[in-house]
Amino acid sequence: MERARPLLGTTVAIRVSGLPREEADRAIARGFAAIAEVHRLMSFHDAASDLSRLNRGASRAPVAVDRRTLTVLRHALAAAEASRGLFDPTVGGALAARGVLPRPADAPEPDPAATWRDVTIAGSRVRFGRPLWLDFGGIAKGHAVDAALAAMALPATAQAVVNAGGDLRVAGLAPELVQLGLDVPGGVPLVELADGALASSTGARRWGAAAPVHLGGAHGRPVGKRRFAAVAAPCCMTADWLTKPVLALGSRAVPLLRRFQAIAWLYSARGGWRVLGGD
Amino acid sequence: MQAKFFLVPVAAVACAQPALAEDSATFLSVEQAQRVLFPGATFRPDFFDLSEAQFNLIRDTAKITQWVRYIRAWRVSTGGWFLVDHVVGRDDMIKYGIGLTADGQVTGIEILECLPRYDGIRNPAWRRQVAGARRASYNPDAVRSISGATLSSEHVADGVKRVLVTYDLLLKNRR
Repeated sequence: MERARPLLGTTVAIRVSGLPREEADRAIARGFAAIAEVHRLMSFHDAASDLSRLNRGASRAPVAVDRRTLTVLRHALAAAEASRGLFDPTVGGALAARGVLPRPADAPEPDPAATWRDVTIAGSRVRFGRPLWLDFGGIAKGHAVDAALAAMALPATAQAVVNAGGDLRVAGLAPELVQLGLDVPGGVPLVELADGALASSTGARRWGAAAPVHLGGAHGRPVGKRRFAAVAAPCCMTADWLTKPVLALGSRAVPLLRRFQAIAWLYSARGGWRVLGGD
Repeated sequence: MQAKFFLVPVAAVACAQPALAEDSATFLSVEQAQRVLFPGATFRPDFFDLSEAQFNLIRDTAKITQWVRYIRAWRVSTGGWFLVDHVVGRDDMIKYGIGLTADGQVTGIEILECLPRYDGIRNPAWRRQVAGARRASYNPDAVRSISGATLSSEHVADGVKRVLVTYDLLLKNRR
């Protein structure tokens, strides 16, 4: 049984098998509810979200947010530290400057020198050391997929796939074949995945010394000289953020991938496909 | 987690049976491995998810990467356990089945899936090295590696240790 709904700026599909129909229906409804919560709390676009409240106020005074927002923020900061800032959740200002994200109303102008190190958490409150715009674009989708599966609380014998526009997780022993949305010479890239998550990203661009930005939506287009990365990891949030350091570092991302029990497949026009990690 | 990558020739995608460029081979199904390791027995699945604490405990006790957040174990009608575990080879995921006696001694392992070019680990003489292993005395470093499949053999040997630790921590007293 499969259901799809527009959420998180993409189409989210949830498929369940191995459960009676009514149980599958209820599990899918719980999954969508969990994703909607993530969307409500962590949208950059929604002025009422926790994220928008932080961007408006946390540089002036500590702002209390939902524990789920805190969880993602903690993971985002840990990811920034592990990747030495190649993944950085404070790129919102730079993305808005490029027109990728809308400028939030009433938020103080971000300090161009702001990084993840300017974000501190104390209890349930978050404080910015200088004005900055948080954006969970590189991690919230993955988290939402994980949150959906957790809320679905499936028995071990059921099989499920939660797919948020290509960031997906498979629960269950039976492998799922996932086609990477990339039209390149050499054949159609497929990943067979069981009980794990997969995320992909492309369009690594640098400007100044800042972090590469996932400008998104490049699936299906020729990659030209750019790189395309797909990362498989035990959970989708990890797979999601790891795509950025993999795009930036190439084979130098292997220690990072190992640390997070992940494997990556990296495509570049010059080098073709390379597998990173996984040995 | 189990993840494999393929490049499928474009022409093949339209076909019913795509010819995969490089595929892991399935040598035995779970049921076949169960019959080999425990002839005549029946098997009752006892699958469960690991809590964060259990996941970390197995990893830290075994000092070996814990990959998946669940245990796929079957109780054997004649006593003991059958488990399916995954380890990473050089460029493949290796899926293997392992039998344990009721008191936690390895009865044997069977390779279910791996890339054919690393299938040296299917060699019975190599696999016999882990038969009879117990947690207290088993040392994965003492298992001889197979040249040409070095990482596969080392990681399967490590996986056996992780399974023995899992038995000790979780299965031994499981109701």
